Amino acid sequence: MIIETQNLAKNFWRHDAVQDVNLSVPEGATCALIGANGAGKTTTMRMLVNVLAPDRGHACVLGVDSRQLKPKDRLRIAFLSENQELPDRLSVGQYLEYLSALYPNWDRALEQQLMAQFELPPTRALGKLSHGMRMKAMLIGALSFRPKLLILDEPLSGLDPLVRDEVMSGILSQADETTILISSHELSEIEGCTTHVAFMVRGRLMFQESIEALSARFREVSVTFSQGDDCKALPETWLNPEVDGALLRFVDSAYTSDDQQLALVRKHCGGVRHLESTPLSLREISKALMRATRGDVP
Amino acid sequence: MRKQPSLIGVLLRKDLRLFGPFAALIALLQVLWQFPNVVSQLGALASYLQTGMQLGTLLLIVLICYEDAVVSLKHDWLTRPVPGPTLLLAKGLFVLMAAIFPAIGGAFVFNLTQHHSIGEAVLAGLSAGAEANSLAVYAAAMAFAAVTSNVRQAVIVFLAGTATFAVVTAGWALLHPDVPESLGFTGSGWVIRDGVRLVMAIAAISILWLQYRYRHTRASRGVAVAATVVGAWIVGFMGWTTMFAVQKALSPDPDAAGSLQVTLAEGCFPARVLAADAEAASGVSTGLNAQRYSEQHRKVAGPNALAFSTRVNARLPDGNLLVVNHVEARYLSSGRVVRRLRPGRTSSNVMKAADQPTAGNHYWLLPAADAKRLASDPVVETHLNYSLSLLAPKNTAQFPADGSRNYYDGIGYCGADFDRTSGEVAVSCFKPGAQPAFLAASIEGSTESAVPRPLPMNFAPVALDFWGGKRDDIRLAAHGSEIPRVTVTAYEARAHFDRRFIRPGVLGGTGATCPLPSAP
Repeated sequence: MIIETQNLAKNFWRHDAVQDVNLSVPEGATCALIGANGAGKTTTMRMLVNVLAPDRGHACVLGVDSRQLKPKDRLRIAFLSENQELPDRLSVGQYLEYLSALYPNWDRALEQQLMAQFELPPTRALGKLSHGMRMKAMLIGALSFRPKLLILDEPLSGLDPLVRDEVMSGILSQADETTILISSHELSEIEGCTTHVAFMVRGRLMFQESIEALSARFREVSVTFSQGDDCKALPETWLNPEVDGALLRFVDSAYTSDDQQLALVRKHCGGVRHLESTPLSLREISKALMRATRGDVP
Repeated sequence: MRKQPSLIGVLLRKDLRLFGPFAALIALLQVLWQFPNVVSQLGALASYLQTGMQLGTLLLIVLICYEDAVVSLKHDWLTRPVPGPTLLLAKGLFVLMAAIFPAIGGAFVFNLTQHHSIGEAVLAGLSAGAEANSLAVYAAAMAFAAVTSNVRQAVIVFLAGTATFAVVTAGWALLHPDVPESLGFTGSGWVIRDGVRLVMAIAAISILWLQYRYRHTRASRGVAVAATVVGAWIVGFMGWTTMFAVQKALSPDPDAAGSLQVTLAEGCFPARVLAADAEAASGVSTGLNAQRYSEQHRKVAGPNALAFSTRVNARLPDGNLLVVNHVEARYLSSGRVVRRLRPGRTSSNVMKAADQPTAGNHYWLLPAADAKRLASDPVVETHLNYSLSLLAPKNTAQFPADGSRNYYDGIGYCGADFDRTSGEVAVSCFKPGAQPAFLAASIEGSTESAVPRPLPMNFAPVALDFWGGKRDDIRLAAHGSEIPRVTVTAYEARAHFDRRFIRPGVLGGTGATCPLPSAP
């Protein structure tokens, strides 16, 4: 595993920001860490790169305890965050020159290629860049030393669709040789490259699994009953159920097949006239989970 | 992974790109400040410039540190292959380059322009540019920046700390409405100065290490708060007793004081009642009263205060000096202190062996109501506590006032110029490293000697004085037109000791033998 945490926990002024998180990211994976605002994603990522010290548990990154990360380990880890503080009065060129001097493995050709791809003005000060350009500059700073692990905290936040595509293409260009942990609310953009998904709710990791397994077990189900709705005690795996006369809609988080679904609906609600299940995108799954967990933590 | 020197160079280059013009301005001011002949031409602007330079230097230091803040979760360096100690070295080197090296260089060049030798110029440059106070303040500024995250937070913390200290000292002053003492300006003032400097240095080094090595912000802030409290106590609340206890413990030769005869003049203390006239009530003091008592002293004592004087006599070994560092009068009744007094102004606290027996006078003011109350107490006693230092000459140098300058053991680089028009001899000495307790100069053949003003007694142990240097300028009056010869004597402190004299009553005897004087 490139990332492995055990009961990782962080507390801020008696608020449990992260509680007993056991996260595993295999080598070569692109893992999307998703969850609502305040779910603990950023805190978890900061603990992984030892910007924050965990209160309990520990994290292992590239085989090294995160608390013991040495500069030589950081040559293989890139961290990019939307609210990273940069030396704003340096120009893009000066910033990259400064970074290149820190990394013996800096790939000047890749830097030039990304500069051209992102059309960044090398003489403009970082502080005078638009948010999108700033993210691109940071991305060049994160990719040009060809890290083994790339941790991206909301890299697409606040970017217009065009820039999002450009940033994503930059990230994707490295996806083959890099393990990526990315947190983002722009799930449509990252779905294409995501291999694993981890979902956090109020500091807890609710689940983590491959995107295939996740897509397979989530379905939006629409049921029309032969008579009025008479459902009793719906299963917990049916998220956000909505009843409108003889129509029941919900998201099934434990879908296996239409036949089994039909049998389950009949068992809980009686006669079914029509049942339709639709696969969900990562964005829709995330929305459903966030709605379902808005009230309390299961 | 880059080697450390190369990494320091990378970080330094980045900071120079960010703060180059600001650092150049500070460096320029630091150089300029080492040329007193240029600064003196600036007139009133000089003090503004000095304040600006000092504040600017501190601002530059904190900005340099905040650029790669340690108390941060967002700064770029946190996730880069930059070891904290290397970053600290780079920041320290930047401060050296912007503030310390220019000051050293400026002072070096200035000394060369004064035709001092290269050796003296180097040592004077180092002592002026890398002065211990400046180093401690710069380290403290770096430590302060290491426990705060930005200028706004720093300003808030600084103002809150200053306000707290002001409120506490004001409260203390209300509870103890006495004439404030300037303990820091006595020969034992080093206990305060070096104490604060030591606390600052230890705290700064601990904080910088804890933060840049381990990023232990909570522990670092704990150290910062503890150091501030201890430093504030040393500056604002450490009493003379504690200060002199430290001084006595470090006496080089305590036995030297054992055989010394110090006596309190026999008989009643000369006393009179100060007139409650309009002049005294308004606080405007003139004449003898002004020489003996400060305006504040008279205000605290109030109208019709009892003014009296005490005198101690001493027999000293040849050439020695006795310094009265501090005197306090206490009135005790049945073993309990019922009133403390501090003396007024003293013309000289240095008693010389040449004036055998040498004497020291002190002048006191006792509020009228207290005098009446104490006089009516049949068991009241007066305790006079003298804190004394015995100084002995250690090194002497004699040279003509012809402008030549040489190095003399224990005295340093010395030279003197004779101005025939004014008949004045200007002696200038620079002593690197350990300082004498006291430096005096006289014209050969004359009994009158002069000392640098303000009187710079210094009883600091040699171990604390090893860094830096000090320049003393002394002016002497010469007679005739021949180039006179000058004798400069460096004194060392041999012993620090207390003498307590106890007398019955209020004025050196019982009410019957030494009654209170009547109002004029």
